[in-house]
Amino acid sequence: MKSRILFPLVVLVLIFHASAFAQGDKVRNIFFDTITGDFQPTLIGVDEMKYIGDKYITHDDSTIMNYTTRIIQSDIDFCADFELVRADTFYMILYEITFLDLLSWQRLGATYLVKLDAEFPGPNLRVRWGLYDTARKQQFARGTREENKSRWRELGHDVANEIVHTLTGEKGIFRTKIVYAKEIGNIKELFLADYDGANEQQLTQTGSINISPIFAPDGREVYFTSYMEGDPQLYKVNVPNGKVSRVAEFPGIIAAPAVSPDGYKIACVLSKDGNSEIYVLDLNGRIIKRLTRHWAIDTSPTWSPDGRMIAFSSDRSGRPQLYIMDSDGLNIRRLTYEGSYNDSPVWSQRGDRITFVNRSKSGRFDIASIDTSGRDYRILTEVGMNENPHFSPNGKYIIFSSTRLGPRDIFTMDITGRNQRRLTHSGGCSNPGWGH
Amino acid sequence: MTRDVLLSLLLHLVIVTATVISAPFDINRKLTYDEVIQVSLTSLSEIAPTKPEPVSIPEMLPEEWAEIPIESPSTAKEAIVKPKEKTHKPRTKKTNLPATEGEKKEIEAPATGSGSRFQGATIDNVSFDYPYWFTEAFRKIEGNFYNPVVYDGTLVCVVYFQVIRSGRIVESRVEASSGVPAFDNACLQAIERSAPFPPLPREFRDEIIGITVPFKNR
Repeated sequence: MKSRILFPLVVLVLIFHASAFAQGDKVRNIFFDTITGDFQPTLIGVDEMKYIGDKYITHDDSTIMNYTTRIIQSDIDFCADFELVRADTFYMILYEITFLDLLSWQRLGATYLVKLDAEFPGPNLRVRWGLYDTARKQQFARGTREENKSRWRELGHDVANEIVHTLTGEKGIFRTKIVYAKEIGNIKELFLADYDGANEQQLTQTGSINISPIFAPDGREVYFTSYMEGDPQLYKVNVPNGKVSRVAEFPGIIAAPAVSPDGYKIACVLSKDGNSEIYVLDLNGRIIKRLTRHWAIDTSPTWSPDGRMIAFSSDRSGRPQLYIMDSDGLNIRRLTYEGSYNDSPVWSQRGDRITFVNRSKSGRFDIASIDTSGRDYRILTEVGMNENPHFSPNGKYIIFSSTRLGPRDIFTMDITGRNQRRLTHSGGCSNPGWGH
Repeated sequence: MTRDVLLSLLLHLVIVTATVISAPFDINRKLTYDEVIQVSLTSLSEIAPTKPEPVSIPEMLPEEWAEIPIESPSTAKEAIVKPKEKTHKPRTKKTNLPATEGEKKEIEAPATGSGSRFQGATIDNVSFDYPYWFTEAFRKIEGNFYNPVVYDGTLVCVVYFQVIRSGRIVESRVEASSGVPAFDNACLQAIERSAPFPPLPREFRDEIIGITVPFKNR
């Protein structure tokens, strides 16, 4: 009988106390932007390259012109600011025309047209490009590039970079390089490729598992974690000559290296004291400062573009979530509250967003992004297991690995999740990094 | 039974008394009441059929901007009145004359045409006649404009910015406030996030251009 009365009494007292103290708790302010900004890519046509010399050209030269045009078209199509308008053969048959003039391109929807003229002075290929306003029927920009014929791919990328710069003011990314880990049997070696996956070449030959490659800001070195001497330790490889050297060695693991924007420091995870904590090392592998000191697992550091802050993931709240701290380890604050699992953050070079991996309730891994103020949480992928996101040097694209088509391969997309492209086709590719 | 009830009452009395008495002695406890902001779960405009209560802002809106007709975008151009210190000249014909201080030309481009958010935009340099530049510049601005204000009426914020030959911004400021700081900031941020703009064409002689853009929330 006593318990029948005392139990409700105790419950009442507890409720009373809880409500009294809850008044002093902070109310978390939540904003949800109403996005009214409407982005429309500009429609651009890229006409077939025409030979303007006065000599006969070989079949090989004709093929080079064709391939170079495809490179320029592919680059323009990759660019998030533009959408490629393709020549419509049905339109040409319908109107019984053999080539498309400016009016035809305008009717196909193109705002601008890129015209390409080729010459072959000696062993070189010279491309003159012109940008035309299809509505005004006039040229408003032009340029010329010349390279050895064997470098037609680089030439095409250069022309595309100039076109993008003319129209956007931004430096094109078509001559940038990517690095990734690729499975070869039971090991993983690092491979280098152009931004579009072409020109793949093996960067390391250590015969071990190498992961988490990241370019130094100057692009001449790649830092990575390797198991080549047992425990995972920090190494670097010189990109031009492929020479591998050890950067740091500590008991336990060294993982998730992130080079500071000035190129003089490396944030990484050390477990030398038994728990994963974030440290900052100098380029010789000496500890400059320990940044985190918590019983939870702190990992995946990433620098802000100004080098003043570091984002990382930690399960200190019970589940992996993203946090931001000053680069001296102070002022730690939680960034993500949505999603029960957010990991592997990477800070955009534009400074405005952080991309990361989100695990949904169904167990699928997706690429997500969030504003650095903690707003505008977006899931960017929908199919397969998507991991290891990394930003392009201009912060407008994200490279990541995915199993959406079966084997794990490297994909890219723009920061809104559009225009997703597959770069590798061999399978077993992961941990991509993007350099200048 | 009676003893149980009495015991219960006594316990209630003791606990309530203890709680009331203990509260003032807890000197570390401070009751802070943060500003509670109403949450509007409207993310994308196309999936936001409902709108929250409209905010009241009339007293902060400059008179001349408040006069802009809402339902008739085609007449809004005539209704826009420039700030008093700037004189609005009528549209001039295409000319190669260098930029003159105080002279402005209305921008003729699809991005600033009738019904556009940026209708009525002007440029200081009358000789700058490159529609592609405006198309690309305003496309970037549109893509970087995130309106944080949910409001049934019309807000107009006029931003002025200058671009140098490389496409970089050297100055940006709010010329005429909408009266809502959040909206003004969003407009200014849209300009700053859009940098760099396309470089100025090689044929264009001036080193700098100045653009005045009215942002509307609808």
